[in-house]
Order: sequence, then C-alpha cells, then structure tokens
Amino acid sequence: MKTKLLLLITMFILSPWLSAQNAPHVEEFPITERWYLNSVSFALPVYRDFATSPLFYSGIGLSLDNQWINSNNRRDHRMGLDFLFGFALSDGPKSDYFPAGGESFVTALTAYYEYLRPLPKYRGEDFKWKVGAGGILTQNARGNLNLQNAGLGLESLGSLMGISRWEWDVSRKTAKEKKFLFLKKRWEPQKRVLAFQLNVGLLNFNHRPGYNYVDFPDIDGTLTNNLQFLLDGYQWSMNGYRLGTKVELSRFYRSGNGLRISYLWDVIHAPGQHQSFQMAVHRIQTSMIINNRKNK
Amino acid sequence: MKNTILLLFAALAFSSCEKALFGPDKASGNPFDNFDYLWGEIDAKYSYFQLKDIDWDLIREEYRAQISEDMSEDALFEVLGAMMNELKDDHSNLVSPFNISRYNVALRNKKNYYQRTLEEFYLPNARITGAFVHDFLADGQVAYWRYSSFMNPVDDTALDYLIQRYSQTKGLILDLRENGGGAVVNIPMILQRFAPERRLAAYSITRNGPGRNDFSERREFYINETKFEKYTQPVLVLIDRGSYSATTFFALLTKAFDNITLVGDTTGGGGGLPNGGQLPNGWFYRFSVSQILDLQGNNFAEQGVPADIPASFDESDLTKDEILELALDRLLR
Repeated sequence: MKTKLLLLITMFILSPWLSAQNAPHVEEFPITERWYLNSVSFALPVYRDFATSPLFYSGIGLSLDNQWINSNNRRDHRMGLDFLFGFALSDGPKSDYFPAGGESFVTALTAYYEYLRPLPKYRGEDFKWKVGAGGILTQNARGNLNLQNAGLGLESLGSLMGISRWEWDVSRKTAKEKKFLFLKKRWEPQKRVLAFQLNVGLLNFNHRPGYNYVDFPDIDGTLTNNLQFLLDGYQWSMNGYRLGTKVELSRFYRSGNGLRISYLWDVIHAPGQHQSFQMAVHRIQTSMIINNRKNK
Repeated sequence: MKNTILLLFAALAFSSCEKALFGPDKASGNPFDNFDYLWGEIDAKYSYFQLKDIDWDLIREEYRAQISEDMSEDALFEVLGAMMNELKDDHSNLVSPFNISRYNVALRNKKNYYQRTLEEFYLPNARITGAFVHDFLADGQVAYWRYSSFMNPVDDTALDYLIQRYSQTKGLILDLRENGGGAVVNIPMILQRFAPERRLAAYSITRNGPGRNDFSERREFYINETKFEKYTQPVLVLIDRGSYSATTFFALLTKAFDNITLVGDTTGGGGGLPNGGQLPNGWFYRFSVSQILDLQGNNFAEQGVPADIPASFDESDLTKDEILELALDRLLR
C-alpha cells in the first residue's frame, strides 16, 4: 500500500516532464533574482529506531536554516543548510505503578540542493508549476544515555529527490481599507506568493548500524579514536523512502525584501540492512527574505 | 488572512501523516508482548549461548509459563530479571524505574579486597594523582598503584608523573581488585606504558546473524608502543572476582606480555561488549553481543581470566593482605 502510494506520488511529479516535451517555448529575457533566506523554526521531531527500541520518541526543537536562491523565469537553483536540535521523550504505555520512559536529544544537520524549471504549458498569469530534481543529505546525532553503549545514533540519510512546486500569485493588487469603531486600517498593495512543494526521494541511501548496534572494532591501541569505535559495523544501504512537503506564504515589501511563514514536513524511513529507522519533523518556520539581486 | 488559514489547514492535514506511513505503534504494557520482545532480542543478539551451554528455548518455556495478562509490573520485572540472570553475566541487566536486575558475580564468590586493610596497614599516607592512589612499599623498593575503576579517565600527564616517581623501584603492583570496569579506551592507555613494543594482544568477534553462533571475522586488538614514559621493571597486577568487564579485558591482554603477571583470584568475566535496548513498556535492558579471545582463541574473558599466581585473602586477619604480600614477596626475591 505504501509502495503504491509512493509510486503514485512519483508519477504525479514526473508526469509534467513528459507532457512538457512538446510545450510551446516561451522566450523571455531572464532577470536573475538572488535571494538569501534566514529562517528559524519551531519543530516537532518524531523518530523510532527499531535497532534499540520499538517506541516512538517525540519532542520539541528549534531549527536554523540558511537558504540561497538564484532564480529567473527559466530555472531556480536553491541550496541550503539546516541545523535542528531538540529533545524527545519515549511514548511508552501508561503505567499506574511506576511510569517508565527514556529521554534523548536529537540533532540533525541537513544540506540540500534543488534545481527547478517552470513548465510553460502550465503557466498562467497568477500560477506557475515548476518541476525538478535535487539532493538532500542529513546527518543525525541522537543521544540516549539509558541505552548505554547503544546510546549514540549517527544516521546518515541521503536522497536524490524529484521535486514539484506550485506557486500562486496571491498579491493584494489594490489598497484596502477597513474601519472598526474609531480604528481605521489601510493595507497597501503588496506582492504575495503562496507555494506548495512536494519532494519525493527517488533514490534513498542510509548509513546505519550493522546487525548489532555496537560492534567490537579492530583496536589499534590508543590510535583508535572514539568515532572509529562508534561507527564500526555501520553499513550503507539503498532502500526506504523520504518525503518532504512545504507550504509557504511569502510577502514582499517595497524594498524588495520580504517575510515568509512556512509549514514543512519531512518524513524518512530508512530500513538499513537489519532494523528500520523512521523519523519525521514538522516545522513552523519564519524566514527573512533578503533580495540580493545585483541590478535591483 | 485566508492564505494564513490555508497554511494552518495544510499544517494540520499533515500533522499525523507519518504515523500512517510508519506502521503501528508498538508501545505495549502487555506482559506477553514484553516477554516475547526481550526473549527475541536476546535470542537474536546475545553472544555466549554456546560457551555457557544455555538452552535459551528451554528457558523461554520455563519463564513464559510464569507470565499472565493480569500480572503486576513488579511481578513481570521479577520474571524478566530472573530470565536475564540465567545468562550468568553482569552485563545482562533489566532496568526499570523501580529496580535493576543483576547477577552479582562478585557476591557469588569470595571477597579478596579490603580497602581498610590497605589504607590502615600499607598505605596510610598514599598520594592521589588523577585516577590513581599510589605510594612506595617495602622501604621504597616497590611501587603500588591502585586504579579502582576504568570509568575514571586516565591521562598521560598523571601516568608520566607516576612513572617518573617510581622509576627506581624494583617492580610495580597495579591493584585492579574490585575494579568493576568502565571505558575500554583506558585499557591501552595504561597497558602501553608497560609494553616493550607494539604487540597483538587479543581478538574480538561480534554476533552478526540470527544463528546463535553467527559471528563476525576476528578483529585484532593491538597494544602500541607509547611515545610517553614507560615503566620497564616487572609489573604484578592484582585481580579478583570483582575485576569485571574492562578489567577482565585488561587481564586478558596482559597474557601477551611476559613482564606482566596476574596475582590473586580469577577475574569476574564480562568479556562481552553490552548492547543497550528498550522494551515496549519503556524499561531498558542490556546484554553482551561480542566475545574477546586471547591469542590462542581461549574465551577466558567471559568465564574469568585465571591468575598466573593464585592467592587468596584470609578474612580472619584483617591486618594483612595476603595477595599484596605475595606480590611483594615475588618482586623482592
């Protein structure tokens, strides 16, 4: 069922590529915009690592994200770095005797790159559909002291993504004025863009522990460092899935800069070679959009 | 405004989607679920079934018969803890908020270390440097170092100081009795100070498959030659049944060095590296998933490394430490 669902989503993303082959070519002079986005998010991470526990761990966190966008009417390049840190508790069953549970910290460093092209056939006055591809690499570092030697989780999770992005121009084109009792408020015309983006992992890689979470490595006296000790037995696999969605509402000001509020959802399933790791992060994000176009 | 509402709606729409993708929540307080999970994890990953001649299937039958749907959490803990103690291994523990199960190797054997005896009759003015308590014995002819836990970090500056201070002695007594273990990284830090050259000292293997005898290739454990100060006189290491885990590793590794001799009782064992995990009800557990072997392939590390010179503490006279006396005698001969 899950496989079918993912297949359908992938086909949905890829379908415009096929139909766009014969679309009329729209020749426009490309004015390149350069944006820099500085974002902070309130995050809700959830994960489950079957190699150490059948329980979900869920909690709260913050993430900081820097994104660079180079965009014109022919293509977008987007790349960014994101750092998430948070705290999670195990979601165990209720106990009326002596409640048990574990706590862990979660950090994740993510680097990503996206290349998008608009589909002229689906382009309207207030609407753009862009499709493309990208890569994303996340390095997790999770700590749970209760698990002792298995207390540090260091997953590497990489994906080559298919990307589909829909953008609607929802600008306020004329000034609006409202009056409530003696209060009067006027809203000036403003450029606003609503976007929805779907990323689907087409090739998904993960670096996970081997059969046992801890593996006694070769020890070369004091030359064996702690990272060698921790990562011994880890194995690369190509399996699982990764999905990401974003809903963004951007408002731009006369200066060319703007503000964005977004909701992001990222979900990863990494079966590895032995036991699965699953993780999802929900974020409410606010971003400062800084216009760096040289010829603005 | 309507766009913001749309955004919030989208957020809510996706907020629980991953649960549908990830499959059912496995959290459970059901005693059978927890018994089966723990038994299955040990079955799949424990490393000493054959060496200890443990019939794990028979143990399942025996202990599962004691489980019932309506048993209390306390009663469940007793059954699961007792099942883990069948592994006869202090690296096998069940950890709940109200108790920790343990096999207690040291308590099942004779005690051979009395700190008060040492402090009162041998080391009344001992120095403490880093992780070590130390002093001269036998009118300055012998050095005594006490390292009480491999949890205590070892640092090279402290070792340099100790070696310089005792460089003129005829021999060194390193007391590791009732050292319950700790970090493996501290083992080579100490041992290389006594190693004349780089030497292969042991092998390790880790369980890597569902078969109870599925293990990885042998991994090598080397002790390197250090660039720091070395102690070149004979070293006698005192051990007993309380010398567990990393201390047992240490004792096993000394077998590769002619200048180091073990004195006392057999070590407690704990040669396996313990792996941690969590049950569906939130309790934690750990058990051994690897083995450490000496250069001949012997598995002393789990059953206990025997002393080269057996000795025993006579509890009828607490003014005298017979194991220490024997070590002194050997060094002064």
